[in-house]
Amino acid sequence: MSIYNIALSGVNANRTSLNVAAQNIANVNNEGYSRQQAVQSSIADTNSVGGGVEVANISRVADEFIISQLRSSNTELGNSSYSAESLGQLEQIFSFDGFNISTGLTQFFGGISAATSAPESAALRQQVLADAQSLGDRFNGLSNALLEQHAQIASDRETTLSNSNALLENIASSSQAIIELNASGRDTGLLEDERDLMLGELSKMLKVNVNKEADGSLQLSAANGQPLLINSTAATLKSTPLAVDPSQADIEVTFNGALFPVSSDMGGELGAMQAAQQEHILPMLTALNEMAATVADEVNKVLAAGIDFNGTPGQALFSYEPADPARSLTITSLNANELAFSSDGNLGDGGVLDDILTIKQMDLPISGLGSVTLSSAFSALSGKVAIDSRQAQSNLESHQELFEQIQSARDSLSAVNSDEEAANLMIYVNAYEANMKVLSTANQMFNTLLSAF
Amino acid sequence: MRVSDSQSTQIMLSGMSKSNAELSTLLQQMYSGEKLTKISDDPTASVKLLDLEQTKAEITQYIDNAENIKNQYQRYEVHTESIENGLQSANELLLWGLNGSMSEQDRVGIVIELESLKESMLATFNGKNSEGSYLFSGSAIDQAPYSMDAGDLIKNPDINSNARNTVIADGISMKSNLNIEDVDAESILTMLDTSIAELGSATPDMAALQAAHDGLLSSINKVSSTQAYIGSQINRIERTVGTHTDTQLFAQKLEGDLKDLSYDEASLKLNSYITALEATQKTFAQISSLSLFNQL
Repeated sequence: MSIYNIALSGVNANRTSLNVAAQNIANVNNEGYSRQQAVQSSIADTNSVGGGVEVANISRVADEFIISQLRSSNTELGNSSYSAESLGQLEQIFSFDGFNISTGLTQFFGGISAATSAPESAALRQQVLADAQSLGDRFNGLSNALLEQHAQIASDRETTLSNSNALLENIASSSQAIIELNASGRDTGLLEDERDLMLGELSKMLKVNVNKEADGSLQLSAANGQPLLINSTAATLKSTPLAVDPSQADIEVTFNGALFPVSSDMGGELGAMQAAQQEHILPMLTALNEMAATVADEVNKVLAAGIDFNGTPGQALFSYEPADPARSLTITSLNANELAFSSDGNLGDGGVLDDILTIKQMDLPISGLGSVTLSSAFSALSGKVAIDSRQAQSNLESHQELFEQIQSARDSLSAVNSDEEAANLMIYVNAYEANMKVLSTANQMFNTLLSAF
Repeated sequence: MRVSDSQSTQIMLSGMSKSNAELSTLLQQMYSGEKLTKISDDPTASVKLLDLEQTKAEITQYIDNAENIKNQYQRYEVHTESIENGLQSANELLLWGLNGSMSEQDRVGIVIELESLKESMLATFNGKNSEGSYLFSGSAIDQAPYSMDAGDLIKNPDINSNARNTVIADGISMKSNLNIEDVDAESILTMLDTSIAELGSATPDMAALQAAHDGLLSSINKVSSTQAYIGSQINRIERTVGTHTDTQLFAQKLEGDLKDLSYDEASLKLNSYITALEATQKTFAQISSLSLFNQL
């Protein structure tokens, strides 16, 4: 092989390497970009010293194992960050003074206790009515706030589902492109980076099992095996609201016309949404409903045994819709004189008040809390929110840390180091110039040869 | 180990964002003066605080109730004192009446005074409190104990001697009323009636008058012992209020321990956070400016 050809191959190979360095430098801030490496190898020529050099291939520096770790870490991160956020909101709801049932109960029983000093006092009776109304308002406010969050989660779920569907579509078309490019032997590095980013995003929303082949084909399935994608065919996730509670829904996957119900634990954000509804908000609403119904029933029962200011038997103070006690708890239309505080008809008698006060100390059965007094039921709920939220925050912290570690491992391998690229730039420019020198030397030799004639 | 650009940026940024989060929590604490910025900062303390708040509110109510009964007893104190004063005047008048040597005119004078005493006694027995409730009718607070019908004194059959109880501590009630029996109203009125009748007659029955005076002495005893009872009830209330106040202070102290921020500690933390943040920022700026490209 001639010196010309050898030098030319060196010029070309190093120019390609310079291009690769330029590409890496250009993408230094592109998240998810995997740096590329030009692999040079010498061209064999059995008859002489050799045929020079060529860029055998441009490889994408990436590790499938780290990328799959990053995906599962994304799933955990999505799950724990949604949990922490939704519990953080619950915790704010519970710390709001206006929703403090404990304060409401203390005020109501305080009003009753005050009335024992003069059951006939119009002012004290009026106060009891006002305190009862405010207790009702607190129950209404708290359960409305919880129901709003319940509905907010439902709307988050819809958004997340439509985002996952859009991502699945994009991943499908990206997979098709990768398969086609691979078949024609072209470079797929950039497309694969993009697809890995999308897979990471999808993993945040739900747990996805990924099966990738070297030829670029891809299969995705949900936590319990429901198919989500096969190469260029994507499934659609669809939710059907429950008849009993429109904020909860059954989720189904439609793939190639077939329906697959998705089981309870989807992982990721969608899993966290379901957990927030079923493990936190709904049990809390149940407990609140029972508390509201209990306080109303117990107080009404005691009042029914009393006699009011007009000498007539006691009427109910509280009323509520049996289907929705906490949200509908309110006072009836009775006036201050119709509060039946007297046990024997004497206006100055407050026997019924003593009986109402015993309700405060009564151990009453509340779902999930056992047998508790009304106000300790509220502290128990609030304590549970605080503990769960703390747990969720520390979960989030550790998953965040784990994610950062894996991201760092990925970046350590695949991301661009600009100093390294600057060094490459120098090295390849030097090599390029050296090869050019060889060319001009060969040219000189040729001229010397010519001038000999 | 190979460290890429994005990796070193990430390390710096995550360090700075942690410092920033810590700073913002600290500022929130300093602004509110409370350690807890949210209940999950210390779940146990937050539950304890809820309970303490409830305890404090209950105790405040109990103290109010106790003060109300105390006012009520002080009102009774005024009334029994006026009954006792009336009885002392009646005593003097009766002693004078029992002393045989007095003129017709003197007796008329005594009778007039006794009648006015009777009226003021009646007014006292029919006394009301600020709510308009009769003081001596038991729980039938809308019924006057006595009324006059054509010059005849009529005792209301609807009044009773029931106790009116007020809650002054968890599960503890205290009687807050006195009845006409406690001030011996029945025998005082009989005694006054007998005395007026006898002294009003031209030939008073001295034996009956003597008996009335004996009754009067026993009424004085009864009223004095009621006064002592009132005093002891007021003492008991004051003791209860004292205990409640102590508990209140204790609850406040516990509350403070659980939620108050120590500003000394906070300002130390503030300094160390600021130092850490500044150091990270300077390091970041310096490292970012280091690049091999500067040498090209």
